[in-house]
Amino acid sequence: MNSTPAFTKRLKVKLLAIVGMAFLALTAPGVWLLLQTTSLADEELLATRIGNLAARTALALDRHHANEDPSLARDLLSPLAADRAFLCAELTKIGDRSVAALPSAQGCPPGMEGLEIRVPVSVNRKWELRVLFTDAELQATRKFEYALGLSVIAVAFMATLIAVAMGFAFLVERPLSRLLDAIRNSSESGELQTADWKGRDEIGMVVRSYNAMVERERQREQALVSANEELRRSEADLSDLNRQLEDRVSDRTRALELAKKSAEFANFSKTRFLRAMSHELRTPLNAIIGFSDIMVQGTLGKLENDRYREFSEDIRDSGRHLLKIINELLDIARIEAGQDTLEEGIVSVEVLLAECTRLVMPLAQERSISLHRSAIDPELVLDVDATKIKQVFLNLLGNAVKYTPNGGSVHITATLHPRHGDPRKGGIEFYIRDTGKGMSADQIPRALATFERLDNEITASQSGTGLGLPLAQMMVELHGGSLTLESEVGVGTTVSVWLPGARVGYMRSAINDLPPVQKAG
Amino acid sequence: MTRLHIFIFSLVALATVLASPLPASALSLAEKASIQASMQRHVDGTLVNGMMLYLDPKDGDVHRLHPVTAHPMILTMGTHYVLCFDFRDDDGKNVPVDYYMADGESGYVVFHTAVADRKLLKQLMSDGKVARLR
Repeated sequence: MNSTPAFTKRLKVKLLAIVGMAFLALTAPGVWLLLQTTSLADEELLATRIGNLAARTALALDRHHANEDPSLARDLLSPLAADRAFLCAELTKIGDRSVAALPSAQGCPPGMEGLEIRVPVSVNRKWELRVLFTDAELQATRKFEYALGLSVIAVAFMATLIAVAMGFAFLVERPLSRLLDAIRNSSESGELQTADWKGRDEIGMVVRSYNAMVERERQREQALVSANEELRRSEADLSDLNRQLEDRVSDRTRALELAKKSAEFANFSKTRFLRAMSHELRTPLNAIIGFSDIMVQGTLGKLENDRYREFSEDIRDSGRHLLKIINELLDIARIEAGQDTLEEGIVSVEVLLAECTRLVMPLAQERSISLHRSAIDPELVLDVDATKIKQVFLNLLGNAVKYTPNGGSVHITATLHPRHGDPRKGGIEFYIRDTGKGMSADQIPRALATFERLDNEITASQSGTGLGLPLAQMMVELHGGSLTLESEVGVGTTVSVWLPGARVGYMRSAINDLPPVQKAG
Repeated sequence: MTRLHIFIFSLVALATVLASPLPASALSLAEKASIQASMQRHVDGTLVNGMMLYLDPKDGDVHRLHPVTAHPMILTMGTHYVLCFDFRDDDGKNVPVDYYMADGESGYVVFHTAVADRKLLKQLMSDGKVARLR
């Protein structure tokens, strides 16, 4: 950065040039006008003085008829010599020589330079007074006045320039110099510095504003340093936390892996145990059921005692119930172990529901429960494991009939939901509604949990394993669907079974939204 | 052109206007002296026992006016001139008398005298017909 600007670019030089020119432009014409006016007044005064003197002398000459007495004429002319502008005078008859003159021996010789006036002496204008005078005093006065004027202008000009220069130096140059020094030092050192100036004028305001800006910048820098420091600390804390978190995550991961392995091992053990036990249980159980059935049927001879026959029936029914529990447990174990697979195939929805309804119908009729099924398009088919889905609907319909009081009703309906372009939406939803006593909201999760029964008292009509609903839910979810419960105490329960659109189709593929089911493979 | 240049140009123009040469004097110093002398001779010629007698048309009285001093200022009125002379009446009150003069063949001649009628001169000056001789 150039420390000092060129001479002609300096502010002070420009200011002095402007002030100097303004001063000269305004004062010089004024002084010139004043001198002109003064000079004119001096000239008029001189003309008046000489004119009056000559006129009064002419009057005296006329009154005393001095043209007839040269001595008297010279005496009357002599006061003219008292005026310093006077050069010479002559009393002459027009067209003739002079009668009297002043100086008396010389008069006004030819070639004498001077200003001339002629004043008539007599009324008939035959005599006149000729006076020559000089304007030397006027010239001298003019020279003096002009010199004085120029001197005054020069002195005033110099005084003005000096005053302006000093004022500029004190008012502008010093504060600007300090401000510039502060800025330069700030630039060189990299550290903001304030300017030392206490003026209250505009320059002072500029310096104060600069100082205030420097203070703000310092505070901002300090705040930035503090923020950086805080950020560094936070970063370090965050790193510590991250390390701790990573340690905890890895500890937790190890613990989870151990827990998972333990759970998998326990599950595997449970499944193996269940399968083994189921197999071991079913073999003798089938023998018990078979032999008790032979006894009830009286295949080898009718039992004479009715009590024995009733005992045989109880043994057979209990055996069947136990077998059912074992079968369901085995199913749940297989599903939980991920060993169960779907044997998918095309099945008509109408046929499926008709068969399920037919199987449950005797139980419903026995308890005077009306069982209704909505009309279903016979072309509508499902691509599902028919055995499992049938087991689901039998279970749900059986539950509905079981938990509906005598004289109630059970409805099963099916509704198609379009996909609207989203494959995750749409599908078919079955609703099994009963008019049973219903459940409260907190009972619904328990109903879907294994081995949970809502009523502790098992009646003949409501006997169950407590595994049917959870097993149905698992089977539906195996198909990619869902099973939900809605119930209201005193009104009834509605079980919804939703199967995705990919498992629904028509044999005739007439609806675009629901593509025809194509058997895999 | 910067603002500084405009400012300097304006100053120079102002100085030029202010310092423009004044109108040249219509009369030389000798002529001015001749006019003053002619007026003085005219005044002397109208005096009666050293006084100017003035018939005031307002009251019909004849007032005696004593000559005191001639004004150095000469006014121009076209090709004519106006000069002033102070008189004093018997009460010591100043009475201005304006002499309107013309440049005749035999010298300057008073063709009109306005006694105590300064309004006429002021009116002529305000009309621009009379101005100070430069």
